[in-house]
Amino acid sequence: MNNIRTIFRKELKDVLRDRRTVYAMVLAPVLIYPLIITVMTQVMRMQSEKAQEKVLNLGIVGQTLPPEFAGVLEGFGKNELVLNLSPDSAQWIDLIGDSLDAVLAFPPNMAGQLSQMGQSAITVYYRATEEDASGRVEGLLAAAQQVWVNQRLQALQLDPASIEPVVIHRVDLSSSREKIGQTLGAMVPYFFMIFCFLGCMYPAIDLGAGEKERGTMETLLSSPASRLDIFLGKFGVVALGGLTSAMLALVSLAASIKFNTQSFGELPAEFSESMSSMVQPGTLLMLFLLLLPLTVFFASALMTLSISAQSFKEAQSLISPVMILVMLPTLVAFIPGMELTMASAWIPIFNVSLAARDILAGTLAVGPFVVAVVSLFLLAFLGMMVSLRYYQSERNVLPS
Amino acid sequence: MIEIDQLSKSFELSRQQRKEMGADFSGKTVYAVRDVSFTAQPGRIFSLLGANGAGKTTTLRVVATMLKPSSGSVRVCGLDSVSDAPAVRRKLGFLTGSTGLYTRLTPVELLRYFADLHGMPRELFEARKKHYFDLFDMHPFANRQIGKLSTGMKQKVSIVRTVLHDPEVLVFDEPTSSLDVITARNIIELIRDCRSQGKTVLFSTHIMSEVDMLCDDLAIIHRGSLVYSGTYESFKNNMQTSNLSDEFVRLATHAEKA
Repeated sequence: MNNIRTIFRKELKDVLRDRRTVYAMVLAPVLIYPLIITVMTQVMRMQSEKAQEKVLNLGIVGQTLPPEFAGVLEGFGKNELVLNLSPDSAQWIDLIGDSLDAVLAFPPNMAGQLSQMGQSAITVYYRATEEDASGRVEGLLAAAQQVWVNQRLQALQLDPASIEPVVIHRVDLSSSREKIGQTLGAMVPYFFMIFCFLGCMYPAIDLGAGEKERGTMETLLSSPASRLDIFLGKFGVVALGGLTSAMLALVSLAASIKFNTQSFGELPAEFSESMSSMVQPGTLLMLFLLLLPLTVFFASALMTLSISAQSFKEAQSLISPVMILVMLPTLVAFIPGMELTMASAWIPIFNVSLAARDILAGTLAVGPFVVAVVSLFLLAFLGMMVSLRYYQSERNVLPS
Repeated sequence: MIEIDQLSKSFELSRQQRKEMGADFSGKTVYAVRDVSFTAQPGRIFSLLGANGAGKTTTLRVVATMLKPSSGSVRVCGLDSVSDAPAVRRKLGFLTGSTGLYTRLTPVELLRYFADLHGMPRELFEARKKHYFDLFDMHPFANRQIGKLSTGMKQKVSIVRTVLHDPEVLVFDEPTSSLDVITARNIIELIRDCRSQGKTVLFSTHIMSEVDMLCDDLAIIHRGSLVYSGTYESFKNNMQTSNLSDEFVRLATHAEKA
């Protein structure tokens, strides 16, 4: 036990003096969330301001606007009209997307057609790729259509309710925490697993392949410390690295959301309320129950790969594809309809992703969660055994 | 004392390694060392001489308990290198030419680390550290990160790390291979000091002049097998060529023909 403690303390001191490790383990998880969320909030705010300020440039074929359309247009933000465009579209078609956002061609006898209970047609020229402008034009036309429909119903002496035989009242029982948790809950495990992996990665490479490459492994192996002592001492540091990174990422996420909510007031009040209900001791404990075996598994897998390599570079090239392989299942929580069930709870990483999402949304089912935790602890144990076996193998542990 | 009896060590080859061995090779394992026997006595320097890849490092790694023998036995101070491995390592100081140091630690931190692994009490560590720091004039760089030290300074740290726990047996694997003449001289002096203190010294080399300077007993290893084992004096008296290098080549060639 003394040797394990001695090795753990030394390795911890050693990795904390390595800039790369400190960056991956501490700085990146602390800084990345505030950075992403601040940038996202700022960009969203700027976009929303820009959209409000944006003048919609509409070209009109014809000399006048139908009065119903003109009335609707007044309530639809800033706009500028270019009237009296030629019926020949070739003369202005290239201007769409440039000085004009869209062109509306009203038929000359539109008022007459409508008054005779006939059907008229408006042609809209726009670019669907200009989402902002085309969205506004669609909204404008839908509102104008409603006015024309109501006029027609009035003329026919019909109650507008008569063409809407069924009114649907939707009562959404999901709490704001559930709604926000479904989105945010998918994002959180993705990031905390990345940081957990990265937090383990650099210490694992440095303390395995790095030690072999530097020629210090033989010295350590000739000391009275057993291979088990060496493995456990190093393992403790690698796992601590992953756990620290993931926890820092979670704390940083909570702090940056809180800070952004306060400073910009952009996020709805229910959002911050939902956030505080997520950051409860029970929620954090459940996340920790997932995170702990996951970290042990990551640490084991990375230490195994690292000790198989002869150099830092070789270890990096072995680990990079694994990182992609590990990260793919974390994305499943973003796919709608993916559920944590008694069966899917056995699939590693996938289960962490879904369980963490459900924990944050407050929709976690106990049975699958227990299965997920048990399977993760089993996986972690197996991972440790394999890694220890690798550390005890003469071929792996000694430089060739 | 180090007693090596009928030591063999084989390694399993990977598929790639088997392919590299050529079409004539049909086995799955290769012997790095085969039936090696010798005894290194306290107060004497035992040299293991051989070309690169002859099996010197494998033999020394088995002595240092890093590798387990495939057959045969190794006893260090009467302790078996497999069943009493931790006890063997407590009695052993091990230094190789490619030994690296933890560059982010200071000499004091590094020495404290290995002293702790050897279970050395703090007072004893402080006393030994002072003795060696005075001896090698290491105080000026005692608390500087090892990565910022010169090769000579690093070598001093390595030497102190090897002898700090006062081991009965010292194993040196090509200790001067990557050092300049002046730094190598420190190692030569260390090996001589160990002999004068009555310690058992086993060192491997492929440098003939070092054998001539240091050795009391000699074993020559070629392609994993011993081609000579005895005292250096008897070796010199029975040489059939004019110098050590020629005699080494003669023995190696003779072994290959046999």
